[in-house]
Amino acid sequence: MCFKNLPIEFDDAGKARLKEGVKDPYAFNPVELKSYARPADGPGAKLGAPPKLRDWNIDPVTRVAGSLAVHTVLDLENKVAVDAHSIASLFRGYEIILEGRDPRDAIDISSRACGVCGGVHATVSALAIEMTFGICPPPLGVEVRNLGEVGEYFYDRPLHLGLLAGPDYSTSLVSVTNPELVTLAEKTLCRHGDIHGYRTIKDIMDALNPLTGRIYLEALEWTRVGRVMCMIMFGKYPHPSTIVPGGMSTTISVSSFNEFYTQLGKIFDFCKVITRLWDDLMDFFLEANPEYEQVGARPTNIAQTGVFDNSEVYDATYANINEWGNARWNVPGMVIEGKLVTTNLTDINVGFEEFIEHSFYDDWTKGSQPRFKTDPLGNPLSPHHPWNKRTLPRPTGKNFKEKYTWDTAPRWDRQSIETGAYGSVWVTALAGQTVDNPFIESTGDGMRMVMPRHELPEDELYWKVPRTLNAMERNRARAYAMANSAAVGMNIMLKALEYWRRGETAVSTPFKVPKDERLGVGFWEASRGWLVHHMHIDKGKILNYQITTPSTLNAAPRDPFGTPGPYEEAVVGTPILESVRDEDIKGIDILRAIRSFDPCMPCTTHIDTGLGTIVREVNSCGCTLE
Amino acid sequence: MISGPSGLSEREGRVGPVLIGGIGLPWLRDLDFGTQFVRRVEGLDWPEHVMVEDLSFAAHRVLDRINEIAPSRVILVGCMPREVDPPGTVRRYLLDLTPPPDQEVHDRLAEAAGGIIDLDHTLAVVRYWKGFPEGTIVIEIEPGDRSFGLGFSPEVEGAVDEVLAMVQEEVAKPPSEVPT
Repeated sequence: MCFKNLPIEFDDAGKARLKEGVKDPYAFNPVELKSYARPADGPGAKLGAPPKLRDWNIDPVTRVAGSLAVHTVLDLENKVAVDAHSIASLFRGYEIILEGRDPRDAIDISSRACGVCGGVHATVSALAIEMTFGICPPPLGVEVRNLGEVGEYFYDRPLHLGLLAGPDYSTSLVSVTNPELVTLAEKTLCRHGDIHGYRTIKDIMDALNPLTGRIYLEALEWTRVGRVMCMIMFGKYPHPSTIVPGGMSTTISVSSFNEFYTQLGKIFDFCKVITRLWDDLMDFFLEANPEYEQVGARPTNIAQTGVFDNSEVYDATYANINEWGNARWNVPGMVIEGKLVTTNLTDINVGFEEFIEHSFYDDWTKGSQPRFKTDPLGNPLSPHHPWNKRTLPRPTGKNFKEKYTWDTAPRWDRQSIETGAYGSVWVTALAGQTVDNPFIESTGDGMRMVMPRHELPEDELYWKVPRTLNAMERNRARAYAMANSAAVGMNIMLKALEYWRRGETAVSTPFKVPKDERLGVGFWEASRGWLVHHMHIDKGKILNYQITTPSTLNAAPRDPFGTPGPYEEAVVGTPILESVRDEDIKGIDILRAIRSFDPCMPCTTHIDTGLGTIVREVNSCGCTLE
Repeated sequence: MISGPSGLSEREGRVGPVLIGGIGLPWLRDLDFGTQFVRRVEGLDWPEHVMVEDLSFAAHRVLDRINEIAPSRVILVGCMPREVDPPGTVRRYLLDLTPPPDQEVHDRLAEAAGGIIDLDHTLAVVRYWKGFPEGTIVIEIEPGDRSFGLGFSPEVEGAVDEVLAMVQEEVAKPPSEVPT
């Protein structure tokens, strides 16, 4: 039993059903949101009134796609963030663009939802189409798609750690917010200096300085390696034109695999270094001040949809979705309050709902019956499920008590859930069910990974599931997620070569666009986690297409039950640990909390302290918005 | 997307083709001018040493690509809303290769890393790392319609030939006449 809020139970055969006697199983009464008020008891309650609160607005400057703003309230007496609202301030409308189109168009059009994650959108769209059309790629087609994805991940993740999150821990910034830490870092030797080459923690912090730091600059170079890997398999990046329903249109040869392996070898060495480097840096901060454990902390509720299909099991059918989902190299899963409650994609699918009480949309459930009361296997579906959803933009309200964002509030079992690269290793580690292989072992409480010899000797890495989900651990786990993806890539490449050796060289399968009414769904993961495309077609056209992305989950607003979204939860309770006067506070801990998610919206984020503007950036790629 | 063999020319010690690069924002009508312009003209009969490429990707990727090509000259074509000229106005200028301030480059690079395609980001980032050769020319057009969709506004459509003529004029310049 994985549901505790939705009235869903399972029969003896494991099939989900609504509990008997529940009159309106998905009904709810939205709670009224209230502005922050200092509590009558507990920490800070006895301080003199009025409390010393300060509004902090993280205000977007947008370009062409989407943007993120976060409004926060800081309690400067208690040095803590006490309120937060996450705001996606632009409407994108891909769902509306796709209505009425040929289903095959979804691959190219949805790919443009994001300037970084174009390959994953194209892939998940292909998966949804395969289920809808009833087709399945040949095994090598599945493996080539997997390999392209490995490459794509190495575009995003080094960038995030080196250019986006990394500078928050650089000498140039920390010397302004916490100069005492720089002094301490200078005296602190790195535990893994023999591997990554940095003698002291300050050496690492220097290397994270924007534009001049070695790690910062090398991150740009590593993304180039990722891009090359991606292009070998996908032909083009960031918006591949070779991903098609039923496989790939890439021309593959043995030299493709050789070229890919040449790059993958470099990645192995990079992972040996980057994991230890982030271990040393994060350990330093946590040991220097244990309160850093609360920066960006929130309940360990993680949602992952799984990635890297097993070509021997994947058949693209909804009937077998749990079988092929659980056979993925990174399994799907829901972690609630730190416990893995399911790895079945049907559970993930039927427990998923989107709410718009605080979003700029009309409620599509009012005045009409849901189109689908069950999924194709007879499992119950909510009226708020994407297959029943309609995108009805209506930017009204525009205040924090009513509506304040273009993002919806996705929830699973009516709980706020986050996702990320770190979630992928987290879920797979807890699942403890890795396919037998020489490079990865999931231990139930961690993950062991072997990085084969390249220029550096073979190395074994171990990532242990941390006790708290917070900013530091998200960053650390993202580094280990890279190692995990590299090890997965090695397994996949060996498998692909085996198919090639056997003469199974086909990478695509023919298909026809069906003219009858059909449902499909693609579950995949962007580098940042959860990525799902729900599709409904009839007469050869798309009737409904719904996209939920990592930042749809992470940047979500409050839901009708009053629960904040993940960014909001992570900011509230984040301590302000800067050792400067109140008027000099930069909000770095708030930004560390937000950036640790790898926010994915094209925005430049400014913090307005009310005393002048301090410019810092949160970067992204634009797939949060509708 | 290479038009003809990438023959070599030589100017002031730098060896490489003349690169005509378009930078555009897909499906945003006039803002996609750079990309669509390249698609329209790549099949023309360009001299052997000319490459025509779509450079509609993030600034640091453009830097990578330009470093790979090592062009002797670059002519960039794009659409930028400066909002000081009427729609359809074509501006041609010699790029000042002075590197921008660090903070500006960091800001622009961080945004580019998030997938943002932007002519100004590209100009700043590539200049900072000295990717552009001397004599780099930018030809940009003021948009009239920035909405979602295909095709240009009448003002921008009417300026396509003017832009093409400018590009051809730049390509035809002998090294001695290339501005620095």
